[in-house]
Amino acid sequence: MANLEVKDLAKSYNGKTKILKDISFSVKNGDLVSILGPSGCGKTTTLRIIAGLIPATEGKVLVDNKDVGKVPVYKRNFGMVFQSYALFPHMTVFNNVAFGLKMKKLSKNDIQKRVNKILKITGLSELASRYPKELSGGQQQRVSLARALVINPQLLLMDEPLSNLDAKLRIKMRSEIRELQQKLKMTVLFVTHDQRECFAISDKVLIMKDGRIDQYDTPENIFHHPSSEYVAKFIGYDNFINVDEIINDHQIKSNANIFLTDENNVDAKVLTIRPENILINPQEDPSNNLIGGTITSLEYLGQSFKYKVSTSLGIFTVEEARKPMRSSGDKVQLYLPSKHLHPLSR
Amino acid sequence: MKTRSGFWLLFPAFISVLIFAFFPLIQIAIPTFQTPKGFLDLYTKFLENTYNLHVIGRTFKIALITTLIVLILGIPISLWIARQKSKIKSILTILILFPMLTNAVVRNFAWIIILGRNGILNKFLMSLHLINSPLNILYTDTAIIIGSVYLFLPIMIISLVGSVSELNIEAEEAAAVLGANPWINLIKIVIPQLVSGILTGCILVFAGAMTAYTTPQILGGNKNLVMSTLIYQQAMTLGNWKNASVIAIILILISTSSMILMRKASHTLDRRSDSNA
Repeated sequence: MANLEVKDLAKSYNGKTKILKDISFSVKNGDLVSILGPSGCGKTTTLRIIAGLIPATEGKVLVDNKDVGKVPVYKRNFGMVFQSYALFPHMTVFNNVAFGLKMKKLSKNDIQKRVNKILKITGLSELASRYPKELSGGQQQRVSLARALVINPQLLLMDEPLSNLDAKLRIKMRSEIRELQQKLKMTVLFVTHDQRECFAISDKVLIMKDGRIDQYDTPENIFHHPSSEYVAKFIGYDNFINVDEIINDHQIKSNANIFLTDENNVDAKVLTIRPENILINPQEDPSNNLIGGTITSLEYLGQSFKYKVSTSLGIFTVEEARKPMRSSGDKVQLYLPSKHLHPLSR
Repeated sequence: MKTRSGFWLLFPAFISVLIFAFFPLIQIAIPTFQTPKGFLDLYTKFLENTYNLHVIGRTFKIALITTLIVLILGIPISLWIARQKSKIKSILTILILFPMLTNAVVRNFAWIIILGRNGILNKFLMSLHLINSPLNILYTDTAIIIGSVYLFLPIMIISLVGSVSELNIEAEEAAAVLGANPWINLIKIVIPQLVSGILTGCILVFAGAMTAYTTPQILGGNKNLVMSTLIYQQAMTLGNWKNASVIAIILILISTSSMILMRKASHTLDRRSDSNA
């Protein structure tokens, strides 16, 4: 396993529109890093450039400080798991997994041993003589994982490996991947558009937007300190307050009395607040940061209720555990505590 | 019920095959067995003649070499066509099919002009001083093979393009990431997945080359007979219809058994098709 460093990567087709710009990041040996973003943000392109399947227009890919830009794909010794699994339809499970080892010209004995070992780890031993089309989606996914792992790759690249599985299997497979990654101390780059998936299993998350990196941090930091409105929206923040002007030092210019603390009064254009941090009709009446509104819709979440409240500052999403459930059309006062208003750059 | 209605739906087709293909065949076959000296007399006589064996051998050789060359040329061409943008792809497909719109006689005459003693090819090679005297290509087996390759290449390409379009490019990329260079990728990943298209193409080309008449007649001349031209000679020049029928039956047997062999071979190559069949 190895360190990966990507420096100033850029990609454009026909020298026209750049689909990747200034992509620089590094992955520590043994870390699982996710690349998160909507489709078309360039995450798969980044992965394919690192794999060597397509050339970069600018920039470098370094593995253990060695530039691999001139190394053809078949000499890089990476593992890759594709979205379509890309199994070889004319080969049995065993031969699919053995392919990489045959390319390395290992002895028959060694191939047999290593394939059987990885088939055991991935729970495929019984299926060794089946053909891919005789397998379920989850089984095919495990074959493609086994095929990538068996060669002891320096780096494992995964391109939305779970997106073709149903929800239940997806959760099971993602924790299996994480377990295996930690057991074998693999360096993994994992492309996904599923925020929950990548926050659950990643050491670090790289959020991409329009071919650029928006934020690169641990899941915890991203969750609590999203760098931009885009990231905040992407990871489930719903409430945004536009700040046109700050008046009286700490107050937002609006028809409500919204004040900021010293800490978050940092010339932000947008503020955000998590749904569970908004209080409805607070017990002790705070003198400010209150805003009146009407409940327009409600949702039962099991542990709590989710309300949409229409106010003069826009619609707010609020989560509340209090029972009984409020009803649509209720007039309520929302309390937005100053300390929970996160400033965002646009 | 289901098989019943299927039978009646197929009935018209069944009857027309019976009337237009099967009965004439029987009519050709039956007289060949009706000889005073026994059941297979005409066949043994035909096969005892070394000249006839030579013609059978030549026919088989020409068909086999043509099929191989067409296959070797067809695979890269169809891979290339299948991976173009759809607009370019349809233009290329039309270009491939275009020669098939012309009469076979016309196309073969073009090759006479190219391959003849004072033809374009010889003039070109002599002007480059690669050869001193013109090559004798026209009216040889080589000429027949060249003409057949040109004739049958489009058929092979059309049979292959379908299979090639179904290939998952990610499987090739996966093989590349696993260490397969482009050459190994072609041999181990791409071609094995094309077996069904290759089989269809080979059967069509082989059967076509085996039974072709115009090309060996025009490019082979009178000395290089193949089975189909021999049939013509027997029937039309010598008026020996029975002998012509004997050759026709042998030709049918050879081409049918070759096709069965090809099917068998492709099944062992591609074990997946077992479960399909």
